[in-house]
Amino acid sequence: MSTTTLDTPRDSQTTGRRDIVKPRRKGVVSGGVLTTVTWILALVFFAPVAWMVMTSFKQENVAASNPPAFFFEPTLDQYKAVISSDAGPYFLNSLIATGVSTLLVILLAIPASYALSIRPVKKTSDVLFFFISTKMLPIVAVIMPIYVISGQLRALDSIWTLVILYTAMNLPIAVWMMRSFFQEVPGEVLEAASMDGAGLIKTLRSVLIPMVTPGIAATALICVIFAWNEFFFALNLTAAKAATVPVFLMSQMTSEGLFLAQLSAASVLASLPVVLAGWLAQKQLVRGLSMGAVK
Amino acid sequence: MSPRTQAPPTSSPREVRTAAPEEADTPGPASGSGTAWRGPRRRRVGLPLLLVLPTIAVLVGALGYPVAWQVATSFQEFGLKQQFGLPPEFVGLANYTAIFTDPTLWTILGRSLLFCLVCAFATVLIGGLLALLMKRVGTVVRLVLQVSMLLAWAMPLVAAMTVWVWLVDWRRGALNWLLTRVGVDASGHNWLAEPATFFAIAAIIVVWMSVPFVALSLYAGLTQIPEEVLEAAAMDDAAGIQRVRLIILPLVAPVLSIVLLLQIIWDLRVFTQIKLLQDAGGVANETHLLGTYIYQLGVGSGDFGAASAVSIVMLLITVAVSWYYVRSLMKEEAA
Repeated sequence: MSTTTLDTPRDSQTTGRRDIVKPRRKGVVSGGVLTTVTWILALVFFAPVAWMVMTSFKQENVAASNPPAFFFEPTLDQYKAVISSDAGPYFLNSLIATGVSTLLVILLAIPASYALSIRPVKKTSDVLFFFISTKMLPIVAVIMPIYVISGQLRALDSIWTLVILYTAMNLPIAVWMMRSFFQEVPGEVLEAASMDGAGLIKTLRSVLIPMVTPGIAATALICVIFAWNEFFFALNLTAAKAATVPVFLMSQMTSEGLFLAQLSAASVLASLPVVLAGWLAQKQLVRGLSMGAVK
Repeated sequence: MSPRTQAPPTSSPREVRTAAPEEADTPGPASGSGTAWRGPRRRRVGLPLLLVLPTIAVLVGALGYPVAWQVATSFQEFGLKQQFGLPPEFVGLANYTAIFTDPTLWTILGRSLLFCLVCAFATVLIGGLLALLMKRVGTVVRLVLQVSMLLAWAMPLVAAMTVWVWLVDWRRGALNWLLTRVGVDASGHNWLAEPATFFAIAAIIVVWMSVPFVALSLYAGLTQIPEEVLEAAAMDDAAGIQRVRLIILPLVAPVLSIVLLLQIIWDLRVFTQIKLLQDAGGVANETHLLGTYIYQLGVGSGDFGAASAVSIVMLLITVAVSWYYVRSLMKEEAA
């Protein structure tokens, strides 16, 4: 009983959210009230974001005004300031750490998740268990060893240290997520491929991967979000050379707290890539985050 | 026996076997696999292992080894000198007795657990209500809410914190301005200076940031309930709350429990929000949670032995909490 929802047949996925007709039930509360409440709640989540965007188009003196100004002459000065400031290297570092680690994750996760999707043997569940347990690991509890070991390897303040750590950080999610996509490939397709004499590599390359490409893309986007937003490793393991965007934002927050508008512009620029990724991956987001528990 | 089941062209069977000799002769078909095509092929268990091996290697190297190091260090005296090359000294349980006899740890431990539980339950409650709401309202407003939540969730934590820190800023924050406007004189009041209000603000921020994931997951769970069930419930004229309690809740219970457990685990390790609020005006020593405490012990004071011991305590709590989650996932796996 307790696993009813989890065990719903795989094809429930194909139903998709949108096709489901919402029953118009007559409740105690009228629809109008609920709709209004929903709008207000949307505002609660949206307002801080909107405020950040709005502030980023202000001049500093307007941004600092108290009471807050809602009407002002928008300016692009803050964006120009951020772009012409020393933010470039931070963005480049984030780009490398995110891009390379995501690429590595996908390259490693495709074979691994395929292998784990084909036959559930005892070892499979052991491996999956191991993956989940690394995901449960509180990173703050392993930061010191990583710090000391990186120091001994002379790998502190190196973007490649972050690449390796982000790869490891995202691998469990990626494997779990992609495994659930591989499992959705109908058996008949693979039967047909093997009838045609396709070997493992060929089956993977020309049958399986094309079929799960949307799934791989969604997985990649989620890895991008996590790697781009990662703050803790970056804070502890980088200094001047390899610092990423979140570290840059934090330094702006503490040292230049007075430049609110410019800080907002930097925050907007830092948020753009991930918000875009989140938008593109939204349908698969939930599945990835709950390690496939919610499909 | 189809060609696919035979040795793949690019890797020799011998290689595969030497990679995992004990795997190669695992006999018999795995039972209850559910999907038809997984059945017939046998005896090449080594190949999957080979495909998984690189991933395992990365995880063991980047996360497993540090954990082992951490466990070892928690039994050593490891300060700044050791960091610069002096061999660490084995001190047995000294680090543990030191942290456990220090009341600070107990205070922080209790505070962390309380904070984490309050945040996790509040998040799941609010997220659940939002999911129910999304099921009831029209498409347009639902999409607006979903997009707003997506924005709030995907934004880098640090970027979102810039807004929150400004909101509660004691000189020019919107909170004080608003309070003053409605008649409460709050101008110049630093909410972060008092631990109680510090944690209230931290909790609001943490919940705000976590609700989107919970709401979206539970909403996805709700959409998996067959419409007939809901219609039948509506037909029986079950009142709203009853319908939720008796019909919807049992059906989403698995999702709900997983989301709650993940939330507890995540809220226990909260770091960024606390750190940035401390930087923005909190009194660090009175506002530590486990995450910032470990950070302060290790990176701040250079006492890696004690920090390791606290880390192990945190690790054990996480293991204890997540045990159930992992077990339930594995059970689903076996089903």
